Amino acid sequence: MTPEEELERVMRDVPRGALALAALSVGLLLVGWFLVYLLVFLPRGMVS
Amino acid sequence: MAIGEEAIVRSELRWAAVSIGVVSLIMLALIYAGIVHHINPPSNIEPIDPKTLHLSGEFTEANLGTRVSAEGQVTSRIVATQFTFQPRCIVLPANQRVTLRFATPDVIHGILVTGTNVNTMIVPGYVSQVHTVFTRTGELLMPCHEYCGLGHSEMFATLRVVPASEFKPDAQGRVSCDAR
Repeated sequence: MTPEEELERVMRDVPRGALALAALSVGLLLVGWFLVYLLVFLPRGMVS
Repeated sequence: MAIGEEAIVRSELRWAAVSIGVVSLIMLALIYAGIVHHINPPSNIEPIDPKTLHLSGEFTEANLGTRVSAEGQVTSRIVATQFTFQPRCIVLPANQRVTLRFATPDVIHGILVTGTNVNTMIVPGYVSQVHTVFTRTGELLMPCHEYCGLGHSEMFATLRVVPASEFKPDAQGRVSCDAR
């Protein structure tokens, strides 16, 4: 494989990996937020 | 190169849609908590003169602590001052709507009640008011959570939440920790 072909392969795969990493990070953050919302925030009761 | 400008724009637009979806979901969850569970940020704009609040009006020493009105409304008045709360122990009934009213004669303080959503700033010149219902009995710590000076870490009070059967106001409608 020439260096140009190698670069092309990397440029094809990297965006997919970045997207997967970003989706996983945001997904975990959202799950964490909803766990705190459901298990801590709502049970702590009304306030106004 | 394998990835063209069009593909990048498409992926960015998709990602923007995901971001809008996440923010909308969180907004809906907060609106649900506000409407169904009555969890709203305390909001009360009520001026008071910090220089004279100990001399007249509702925050004089004799009027501090928990009091039950003739209509049965439970209100606790507390002064936050460097570096203590007056009174330092407050009795409140469980499973009943109560009102906490705070004022300060000196600097900005803040309070939270552990294990509950009660959390507010106490700003000189204004009365901070929080309505809540305590569902669990026991002693709850209420520390100052806004740095107010060298003694800040020693500034805390205790809320004693008791079952309704043990919450007994005296003839003036007052309930204090000393009386129990």
